[in-house]
Amino acid sequence: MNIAEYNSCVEKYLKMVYRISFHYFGNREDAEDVSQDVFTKLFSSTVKFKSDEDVKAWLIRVTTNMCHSYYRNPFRRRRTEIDETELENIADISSSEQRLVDRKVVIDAVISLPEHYRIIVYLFYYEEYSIHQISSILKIKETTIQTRLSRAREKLRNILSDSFEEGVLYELY
Amino acid sequence: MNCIDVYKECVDNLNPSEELINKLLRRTEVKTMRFSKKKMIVLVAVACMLVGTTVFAAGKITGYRSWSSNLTTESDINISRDNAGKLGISLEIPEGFSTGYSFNNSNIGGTEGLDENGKAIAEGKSFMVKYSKAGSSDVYLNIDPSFEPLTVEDGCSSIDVNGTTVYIYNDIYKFVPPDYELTEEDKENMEKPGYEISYGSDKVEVMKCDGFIFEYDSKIYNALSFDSELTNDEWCLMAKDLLGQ
Repeated sequence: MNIAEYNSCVEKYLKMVYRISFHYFGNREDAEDVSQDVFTKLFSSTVKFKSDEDVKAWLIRVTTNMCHSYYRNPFRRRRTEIDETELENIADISSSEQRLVDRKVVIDAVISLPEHYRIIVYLFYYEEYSIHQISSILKIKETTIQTRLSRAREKLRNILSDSFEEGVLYELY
Repeated sequence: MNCIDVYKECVDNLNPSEELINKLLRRTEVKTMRFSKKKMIVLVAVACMLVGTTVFAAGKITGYRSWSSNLTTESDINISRDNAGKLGISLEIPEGFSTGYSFNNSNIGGTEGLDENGKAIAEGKSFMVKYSKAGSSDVYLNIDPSFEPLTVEDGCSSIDVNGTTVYIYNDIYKFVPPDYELTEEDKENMEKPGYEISYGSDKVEVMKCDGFIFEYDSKIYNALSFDSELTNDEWCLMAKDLLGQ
């Protein structure tokens, strides 16, 4: 990978790598530490990528592996809920107070899921990958992905049912 | 709006800091230096971070552009050796040399072979190791892919180490800004062997550059130091250390 390609990857995929990392840790510091390490790995990698999708899949895999390792590091910052400062970022200027509350409830609910569910929720709902694609990227069996996604939905329904009406939760059924 | 839309809105607003973005992009700042038509090979170290350049080959490649990142700095010799191995470097990275220099750190970077129009026509990963000795100038060992057979300037002294020809060079480098205009004196000096002008530095600076260079197992090994007191005999000794003799 030459300099131009590397820079292009930072511009295209840093947000994604950061967002995946954030799903693991719920705080900016850890998410940025991991993101930096992931791109350092890319920078020094000798892997020959065939396409943009290939790079993206590699980055998702490396990010989840690194998060997994960091998550078990006893020295990492412990998270209980989303940082208040991060919450300000999640809300844009035009957000109403209710929308801000909704966002906090939803992202907190996702981040309260077991770690191996969060990445699947992110890839399925945000990146809009299919079960088959997620299976191929993470090298995990499709049936396992399907099970984790079903359980994640069920947990989210339970957590969010106190805050939202059933109609709002229909995509989780 | 359903809860998935709310979730997507949240994620849309989760963004890394500008500081991180700049840090990751800054790592690839490139020092592009002029490449010479002379048939010799020299690499140049710049400031705190090693950014090499200027391989002068006889074929299609007329110059080299190298870059590295201090974010990949590794000060553990064992991890550095692993990294070198992953890049296909077959000689062991020495922990020290018999001249008293010790391993300081290593970096990973890249090298591009440029044609006469400055277009990259070959590329590969580079490995840079810094060696230090109290009271002496640092020694930089650059290991680059060999895109073309190594050719050196006439009159460059050489020794044979187990069948590998090691060239010892003693050059003068004038570092100049990218927009520097050559003086008549510069033009005269450039006709002399071992005198080079390298474009890309912030200020004009003349430095003595000594070192050795050889090709081994498809890699170019080039050790050099600026304004050092190392003698040619000591450079030979270090080349032998590196080649395991």
